[in-house]
Amino acid sequence: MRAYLEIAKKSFQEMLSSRGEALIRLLAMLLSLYLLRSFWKGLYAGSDEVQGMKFTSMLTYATLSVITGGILNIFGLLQVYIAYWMARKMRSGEIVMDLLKPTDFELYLFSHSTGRLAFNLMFSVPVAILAFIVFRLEPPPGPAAAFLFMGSLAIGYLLVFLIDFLVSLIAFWTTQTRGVGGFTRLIIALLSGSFIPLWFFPAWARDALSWLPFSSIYHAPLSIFIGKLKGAEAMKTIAVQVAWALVLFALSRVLWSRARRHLMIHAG
Amino acid sequence: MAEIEVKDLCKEFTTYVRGHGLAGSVGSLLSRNRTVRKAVNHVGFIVEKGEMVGYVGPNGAGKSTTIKMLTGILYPTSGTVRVCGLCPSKDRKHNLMHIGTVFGQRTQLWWDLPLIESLELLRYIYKVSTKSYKENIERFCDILDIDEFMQTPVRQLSLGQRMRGDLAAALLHDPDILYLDEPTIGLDVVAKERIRLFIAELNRERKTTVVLTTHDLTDIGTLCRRIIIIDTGRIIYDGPVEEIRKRFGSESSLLVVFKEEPRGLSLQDAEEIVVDGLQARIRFDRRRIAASDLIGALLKEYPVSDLTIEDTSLERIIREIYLEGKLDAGLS
Ligand SMILES: Nc1ncnc2c1ncn2[C@@H]1O[C@H](COP(=O)(O)OP(=O)(O)OP(=O)(O)O)[C@@H](O)[C@H]1O
Ligand SMILES: [Mg+2]
Repeated sequence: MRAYLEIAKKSFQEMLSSRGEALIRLLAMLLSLYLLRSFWKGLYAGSDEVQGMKFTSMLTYATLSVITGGILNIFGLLQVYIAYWMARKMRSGEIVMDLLKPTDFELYLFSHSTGRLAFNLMFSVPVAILAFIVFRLEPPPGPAAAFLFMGSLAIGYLLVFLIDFLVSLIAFWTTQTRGVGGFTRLIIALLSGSFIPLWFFPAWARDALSWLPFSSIYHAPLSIFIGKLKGAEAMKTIAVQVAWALVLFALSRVLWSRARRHLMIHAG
Repeated sequence: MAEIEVKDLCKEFTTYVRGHGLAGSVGSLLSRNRTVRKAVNHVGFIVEKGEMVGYVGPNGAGKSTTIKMLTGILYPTSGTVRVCGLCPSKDRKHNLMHIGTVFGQRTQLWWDLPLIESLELLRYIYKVSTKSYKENIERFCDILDIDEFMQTPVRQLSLGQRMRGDLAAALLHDPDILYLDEPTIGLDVVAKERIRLFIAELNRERKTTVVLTTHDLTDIGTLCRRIIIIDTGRIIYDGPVEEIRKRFGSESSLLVVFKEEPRGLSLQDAEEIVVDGLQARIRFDRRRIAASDLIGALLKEYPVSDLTIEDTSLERIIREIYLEGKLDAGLS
């Protein structure tokens, strides 16, 4: 187990060594915050409430969405992160070096990913605090909501990892993930509520989307934070998240062992 | 029990041939031409504990493919591999804990981090005790001089430095077997020599079994007593390096510098004579005439100012074996 902790540490250090990239992402984050605020301000056009949604709640949601994006960092330039990385390794043959390690590959990747997460947290949290002060946003309605928010966000992270990992396995057959990676990125952006909260969707779509894993990534934790999702409904959402995490995890084990088998037969 | 036992090992790769040009590309979307290539073809050998074996052959002979099957990251199409009695592709983790592997063309080091960080991580991955970790790092610093660049990010290392780092990484957990696939590729003479010395010492002191592939036959000449030659997937020779030299290296050359131009130079037992001004190269077969007799005959008739005997290098022998399939005639 210690080994996996160390992998996360090294991955964190690796991020530290690319401070230039971090700075660019920080600036991009600040810029998105500013733009999103202008966008929603324009849309609300001075009114306090639209479709039962208070302006401050909406702004809190949008801000948190940018921050969450910064923390999860699933968006590489054109595709999801692990998928991009795996396709590169498959094409260069570098994947051989990973197979030579007496570790569990999925857990290895998860640790690596978590090291990045820790780094992202380190610079996203201050931005969040700053944004809350400057935009005068609302804190969660109570300690229970804050706690649920963090739990829900953590499961959201697991789901992002699993989806990304599953997509990356396609590279074992195609050595390319550009198409499918870009598609995943788009799907997550649209259906997760990252940009437009799901309650602005028609009721049937909202209902359908709440059963998909994508809404677990942004919509679930963010709605809990602003108090839109609470009580039994919040618990139900978290149950759905957990269920998806279990399903995707099981699927990832099956597909990973197939992908490895494929590689061990076809790649020299 | 032998440490490595390979029996009747085969590996086939299926590739799909794409057509040329746009029409071909579109066509290959619809139907693909399947070709099966035998990369390794009924290979068998046994390696005992502490042996150092050179595994050589021309490009595409199947060396890397064999090494990958030995390390357990590639399934054989048929045949068996046993390493310490286990099947490496089935007992993957167990096997990997006991072997070290260097693919000269790749690296297992973390590109953006200083070398020491990669080594530290491996210490936890292989559960190396603090004591042997310290000892090993010290040893690597001593012989491989890795302390010079321990704190340098790997991407800034020269090829030779990186290779030393990779060797250290592969050996940190004191593996019983070390697989080296072209560990001296692209290195200068000094760097190559340093790596050879290190491997030789490792084998002597720790009895580490070494399987080494290379295109530099000096590696084999200085390190290995035994050589396995593979060509198009088949083993064409497996035996002592000395045996090859004896069988095929009986040909030598005498380089002569004359005091004056040797007009009509001829010697009875020479295979071939090439004269160039005051110099001449005389090829002869030691099995037919001893060098001393040849020199005697030469000195009797011509005014000689200088003489050198040149043995056929292992390199040349192997080149001839590759080119002419000399072994087919010579051994089997
Ligand atoms: N993944 C693969 N798919 C298809 N063919 C492959 C694959 N890997 C290797 N081959 C083929 O198998 C043969 C043996 O390759 P291998 O890499 O083992 O050669 P090698 O002896 O290591 O050569 P080199 O000295 O160039 O490294 C080659 O003909 C190669 O083209
Ligand atoms: Mg090779």
